[in-house]
Parts: sequence; C-alpha cells; structure tokens
Amino acid sequence: MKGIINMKIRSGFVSNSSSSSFICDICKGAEEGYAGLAEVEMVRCGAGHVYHLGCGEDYVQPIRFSDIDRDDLINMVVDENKKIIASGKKEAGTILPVEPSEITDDMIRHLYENEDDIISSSCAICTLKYIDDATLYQHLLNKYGLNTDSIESEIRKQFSNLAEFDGQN
Amino acid sequence: MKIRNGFVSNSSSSSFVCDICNGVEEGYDGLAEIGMVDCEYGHVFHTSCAENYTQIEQYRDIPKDDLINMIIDRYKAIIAAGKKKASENLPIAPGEITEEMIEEFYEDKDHVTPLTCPLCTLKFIQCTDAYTYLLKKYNLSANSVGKEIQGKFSSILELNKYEGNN
Repeated sequence: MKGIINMKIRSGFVSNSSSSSFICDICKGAEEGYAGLAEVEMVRCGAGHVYHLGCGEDYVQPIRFSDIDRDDLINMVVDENKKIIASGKKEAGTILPVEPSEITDDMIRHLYENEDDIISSSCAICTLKYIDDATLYQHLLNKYGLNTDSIESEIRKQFSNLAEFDGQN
Repeated sequence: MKIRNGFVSNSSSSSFVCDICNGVEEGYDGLAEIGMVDCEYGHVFHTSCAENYTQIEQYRDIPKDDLINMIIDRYKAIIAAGKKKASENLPIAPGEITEEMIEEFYEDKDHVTPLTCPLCTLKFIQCTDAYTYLLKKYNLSANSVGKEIQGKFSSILELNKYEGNN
C-alpha cells in the first residue's frame, strides 16, 4: 500500500496505447477514457473501489481532496500513513511522511489537483452505503453457517439450467 | 437472461468482462482473438475459465448433419416461443439450410453452443444468483439483509474483519 499521496491504480482496467477501460463497482457498466477517471465521470477511493460519480451520489456525497482544508488534509495524510505503517502494509521503497512538517507543498498541490480520487470515508462501498451482491451473499453464508459448495449443489439439484432457475427466482 | 452490456468500444477496440473471473480484456477483432467466447444468452467468458467447469463446444466442432439438426431445432424453438421477428425467414427443414449458412457457423469462433455454456448449465453459478437463491430460501428481502449489515458494521473494513473471523 502506498498511501494517499501515491494510491494504487485499480487493477480492473485494461489499457492500450490510447485508452483505458474502467468497470463501475456499483452498476458494473464500463467506460473508456484517455485521461483518467474524472474524464469519464468516475472516481476511485483509497481502497481501490471505482465507480461512476452518479452511481456513488445515489448513496453518499463524494469528498475529493480539493474539498478539504489544507490543515485537515495534512492531518489526514499523516494519519493514513501512520495506519499503513502500523498495519505493516507499507510497500518497500515507499517513503510515507508521518509528520505534518514532512508534507510538502508539492504533495498538497498534487492532491488538490487530483480529480480522480475521493477519500475513503466518502466512498459508497467502504461506508457500506452500497453493498454488492458478493458481500451480501458472504454475509448470509456466515449467518446461516453455510458454504458455497453446499448452496451450489443444492441449486444444481433443484434446477437443470439457468433459464429454469431464473423462472423460479 | 439479458445480453450483458458490460463492454465498451471506441473506433479501434472493445473491452469485454469475463462473467466467471471478472477479468477485463481488450480486443480489436472479436472475442476469439482475446481468448474469450460468448453464448447465445450473452454470457461472456475466457475459454480457459470455462474449461475449469465444462468442455466447451463450438459450432465448428459439430459434424455437419448434427449442426443442421441443431440449427433447425433452435429455429423451431424460436418460432414456438413466438420470438421470430416478422422480417425473419427461419429455415425449419434440412433442405432449407444452405451451404452458406453452414459455412457461417463453421467460421464463427466467438460463440459456444447453448448446451456448453458453464453459466447456462449452472456448472458455474454467479454469486448474484446464489444470493438470490438464499434470499428466497430464507424468505428474506435484499433490503433487510443490507440494513442488518449497516446496523452492525460501520465500514466494509469492519465487516470484512468480522466475516474473516467467522
């Protein structure tokens, strides 16, 4: 993990020499852009969730770094970096500033100019305002002490194909 | 089943999302070029992902006589279901299937036959479908499950930590 200053690009995209494709984690629609997420009206949080701005706004108002006061932003960067270091997820070779005085004007400007990323506390997925089917499914498996294999076997015993399944569910 | 709309295209390329591994591939000349196929219901997947579940079969793998019978059965089913478009002329007798039609099927590398799609045959079950099944089995609503999670956990990190421990 590289921290707020240098967050990871989501791996769920492909690119050729001229464009990149991004899949919305909420509506599953895809967009193709040439200059980052903002161009295709998408955003990404620190945890790597990518979605359409419009899809996210149905659940929570996104906050970009440019929406945050300078002092609050410095504290946020420092706190985030400390958490990454404490969790042992700091990538080798990455320098993460952990004192306000170590945050340079260049770093702040870089964040303020960043239109692609939002802070995790305003991410629709991180805050559980939107919960995808995989998460809901896992929760039910845990709740009822089930496992995927047994449920899938049960479905296959009851239905011979997806058309039949769709007709009854 | 719906035709999947999870692809984008510009003038030179298209991106396709695998319904099994959710990986994305970008191609310039159809699915086969990027190691993917689709079924007639619109499921798109990597050939290698599908082969973990079933031996996929393409039209070019089928002997000519069997292919003719398959085409006729398929068109009869479309007509019986009332799904034939008014402008369509669907052959329903072997003599009506031309060499050109056969050639078209044999040249098609992008599609698998309906009976060998791992999603259609439930060899691979998407979590959305399994989740829908559990909702019905336990007589739950999607809304109530979501609210239950939101009432117990304040973030996905907290939820994942809990789920990981259970």
